[in-house]
Amino acid sequence: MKNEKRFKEFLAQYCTVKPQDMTNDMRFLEDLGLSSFDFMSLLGDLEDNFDVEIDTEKIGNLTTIGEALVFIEGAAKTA
Amino acid sequence: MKTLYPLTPAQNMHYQWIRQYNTQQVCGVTIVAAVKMDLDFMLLNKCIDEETKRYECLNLRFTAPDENGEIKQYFKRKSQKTIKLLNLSSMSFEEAESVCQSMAYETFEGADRAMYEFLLVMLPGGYNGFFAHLDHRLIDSCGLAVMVKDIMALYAHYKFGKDYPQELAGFEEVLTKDLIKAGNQKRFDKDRAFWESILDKYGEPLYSDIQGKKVLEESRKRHNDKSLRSADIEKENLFVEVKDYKLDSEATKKLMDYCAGKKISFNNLLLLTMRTYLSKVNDLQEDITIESFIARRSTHDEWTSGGSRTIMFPCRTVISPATSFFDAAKEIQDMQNSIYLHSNYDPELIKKSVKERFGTPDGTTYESCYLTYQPLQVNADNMNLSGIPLYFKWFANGAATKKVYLTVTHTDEDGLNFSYHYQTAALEEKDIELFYYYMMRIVFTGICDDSRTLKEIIETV
Repeated sequence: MKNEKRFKEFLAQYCTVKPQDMTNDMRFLEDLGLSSFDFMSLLGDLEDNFDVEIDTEKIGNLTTIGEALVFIEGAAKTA
Repeated sequence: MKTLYPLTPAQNMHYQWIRQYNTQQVCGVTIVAAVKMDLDFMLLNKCIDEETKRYECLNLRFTAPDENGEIKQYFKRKSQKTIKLLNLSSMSFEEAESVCQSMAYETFEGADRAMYEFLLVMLPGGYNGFFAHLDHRLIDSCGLAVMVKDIMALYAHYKFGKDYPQELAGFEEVLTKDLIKAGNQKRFDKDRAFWESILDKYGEPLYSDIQGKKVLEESRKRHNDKSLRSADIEKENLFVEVKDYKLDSEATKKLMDYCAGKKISFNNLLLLTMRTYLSKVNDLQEDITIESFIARRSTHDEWTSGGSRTIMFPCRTVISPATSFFDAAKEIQDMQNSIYLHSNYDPELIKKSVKERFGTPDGTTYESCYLTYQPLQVNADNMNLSGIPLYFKWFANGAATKKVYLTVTHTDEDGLNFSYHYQTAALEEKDIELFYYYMMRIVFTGICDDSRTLKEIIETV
């Protein structure tokens, strides 16, 4: 995916997993060890860095790296 | 020429307290960190001096207020080449702590000056280390924990050849990023819309007090307003006492296991427990607001840059007593997650909006209780001093802007410490004992069967 490398580098600021070790099925909370504050803060920064709008009602659908990537790609297409 | 920066919302929160209560004492934060071993104090002095270069936030200074009462901040380092040594080793621990406590009440008066003080200390029982007294606008408790760890890691490096500690993120760079983020109009508009939506949905908040309805009733009489929903803040006598309670490791594990199993954060379990107690002593009041402190550190740079990032937001919970314990926990979690998403907002703007909408009288508040959950531990293992007994103590600044301020931390024995700072003008130790007792009864009854309603739990305890 177009934004995969960039997103994983962005994500690496919030956890101890290196971008090259991240797989798309990794979950933000359980596998990357983010706290709920980290995750919500990441979403806010994601909006600014990737120019996407996150519907807070749908945050529950973003649990893995892969889901976030699909969301970013989809948002980029509709923009 | 020095670069001047505005205060961040977190720093402004502290500054507004200084203005409101007319003393810098409300902003003091003090710790003593010591290890049970002979220390090379010359070397420790060198490590502290080095820390003031590594940890940029220590070098913040503030300008005098301008004509609008606003201040700015800038960086200027103070040399720490000769730090005084305070020898308290011949005293009892109680006497030594009393000396440190009295120094924690000191204030940093005036502008354009260093806002911290270090002392080297010799304590009873062979403990040696340092005393640090700072202004909270420089550093919060997470930042202090990082600083203590870093100083001791520097010492372990020079004395015992351990690895040199990793570089700390530059505070000025993080501050600049924060200020850019705060200036993002799109984000600001979203944050404002969220906070306004809470007021649209629930209307004016309603005060709740650990001493029950009588406190609000007294304020209603004083203001001659039967429908007043906020209560008076104590401004004359800010003195606080501290009462600590320890929860053992077995009981702590039960709480942590419940949180892990049900995917509820521990902070939110604490909020639910506190608000259920407040509901209990306020005739099953549904609308309860607790001021919850958020560390606002998520990236590596934010964790290691120091500074004062911790900020408090009102966690408004409007929950029917017929709600199950688990559903109530989820409701609070949803609210807190939304607050996290919008935590770049300045809480002063929320207060301003509430006042404009509902005409809140000056000197009154909707909250009596404040909560901080501090998951970051200070222990010898994470300072490269494994196996050496450690003495680490926070000293209260002696002046609270809150009636009850609960700080929950982890202990070295895998338990929890519940530290209640309470204003003695209104509360006695007995009130705090009841608060802790019922908090424990509520939380353990709740996690034992989380399908029970809040009303059932309140009746059971």
